[in-house]
Amino acid sequence: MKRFSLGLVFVAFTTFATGAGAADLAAGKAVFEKFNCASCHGADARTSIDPSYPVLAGQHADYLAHALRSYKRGQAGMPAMANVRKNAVMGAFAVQLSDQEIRDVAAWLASLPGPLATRK
Amino acid sequence: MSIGKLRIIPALVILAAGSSVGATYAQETIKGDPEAAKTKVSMCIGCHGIPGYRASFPEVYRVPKIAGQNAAYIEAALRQYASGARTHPTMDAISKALSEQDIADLAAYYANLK
Repeated sequence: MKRFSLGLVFVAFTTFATGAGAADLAAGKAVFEKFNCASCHGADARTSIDPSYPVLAGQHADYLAHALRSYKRGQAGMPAMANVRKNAVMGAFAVQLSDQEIRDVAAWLASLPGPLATRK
Repeated sequence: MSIGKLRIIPALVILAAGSSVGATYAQETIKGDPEAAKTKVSMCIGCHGIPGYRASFPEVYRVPKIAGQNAAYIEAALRQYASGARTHPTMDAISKALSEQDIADLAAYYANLK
């Protein structure tokens, strides 16, 4: 009986952890590698090849996800009031990402150490 | 037409020409001054200076951390809001009120604010 209960707890935990909406850090790292984000943003996501590209490591996950969705909307030709970003490179990558992949890669980037801070 | 818009026009002409020489020239002649930015950050700190502050339209998310960000990226982002390549209700309005010198000063200030 005790073993059965522990099993139920385990099943409940894993179901929650992998359910829709939860971010998966390992999957996020895989997205970063699959799309070769390091070729511009650096392997550490903070040493970009050009200073006009942003530091991503340690940025807020929800902001990063919002930025990716904005590139997606820009690429799809949505109107300006929809909050868009028009960028040929990022737009081309963003449209290939599912909502889950966006959540995962944003969460992984946010988990990395970086220089970003909220200061006045 | 406002003075702010008139000042943007020469920059747009340079961009439209696609001249890398022109862009380099503009970057070299305007140098960001972090000290000068201290009188210009009042429009930034109401959101970007408050830990956990959230933008509420059209999506709810924490506004980005900009202290420690690359100066050239901050400049590029502000110019994109001003040109319409990026849109966001608040940032559109603020970026259009900034001169090229303001943008350079603010970028230098936040990049060095670690």
